[in-house]
Amino acid sequence: MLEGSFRRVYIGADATFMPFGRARVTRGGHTSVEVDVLLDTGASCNLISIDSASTLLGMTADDVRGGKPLRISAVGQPEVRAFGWQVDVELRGTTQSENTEVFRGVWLYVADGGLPVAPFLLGQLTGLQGRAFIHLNQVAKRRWLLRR
Amino acid sequence: MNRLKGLIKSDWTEDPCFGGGVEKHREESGDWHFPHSGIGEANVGNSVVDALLRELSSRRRDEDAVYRRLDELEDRVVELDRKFREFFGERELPSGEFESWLEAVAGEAELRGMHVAFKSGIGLVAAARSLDELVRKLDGSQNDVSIGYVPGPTV
Repeated sequence: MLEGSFRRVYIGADATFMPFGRARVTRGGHTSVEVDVLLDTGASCNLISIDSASTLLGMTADDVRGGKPLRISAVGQPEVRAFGWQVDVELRGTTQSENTEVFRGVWLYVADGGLPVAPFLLGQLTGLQGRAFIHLNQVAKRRWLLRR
Repeated sequence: MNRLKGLIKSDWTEDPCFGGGVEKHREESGDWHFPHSGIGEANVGNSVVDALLRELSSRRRDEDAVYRRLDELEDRVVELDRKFREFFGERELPSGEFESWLEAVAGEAELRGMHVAFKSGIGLVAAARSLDELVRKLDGSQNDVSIGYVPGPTV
């Protein structure tokens, strides 16, 4: 079981809270640095923006465009092209967490453009699918739990 | 159980529920309604008492089993309640220096939508609009820092 926290996210002047974790991506022999990831239970795919591809996948933007094509539409944004690559994603709750979970052979799509709110989204398709995501909403101490 | 048996035996001839009742029933109907009707009154009374004792003993066993089951269920409820509080009770996650810093800067408009590099004891060491750009800025020293993102509506 993984356990993490919600972070304050400002959209305009209004703040809301969203569940964030820490993730690193492995593809072939390349393992990325650990970065922030939004656990987006409402998204269909695992997504990153193309300006993170070099760091997370170890590939140039041109190489990335040779991946499995898909057209996606993020909330309120025009449809963009995306390119899928099979990777392993290692997830943990916070920089202090000892527990990790590895999502092996999942499809990570690289959006040919920016993404709203966060540049790395872990979505349902081969990501959070089949897991129980529990949102503990306790005033200022919001936590999430992820269980198989 | 022996004490109970003794009490019942001493009273059965007077008690209409036992011997008295059996005798009265025999006088009124001329029929014992028992398989051992030819053996005699005392034996008939004893067989009734034995039957009742067997029934009482059986009920007692059933009740003991129910009470044991209740005790087990109570233990399980206490254990589940403890686990529920452990998982869902209000408590703070151990928050690292990096997460605390990110939370503190979340309200700063100039950092919203930025990728940031944080070093313990120093704070912000680099910031950029994209992750690849941030890593280029760090120029190979990204292993000593925590890389994060200050959420914002960037597209």
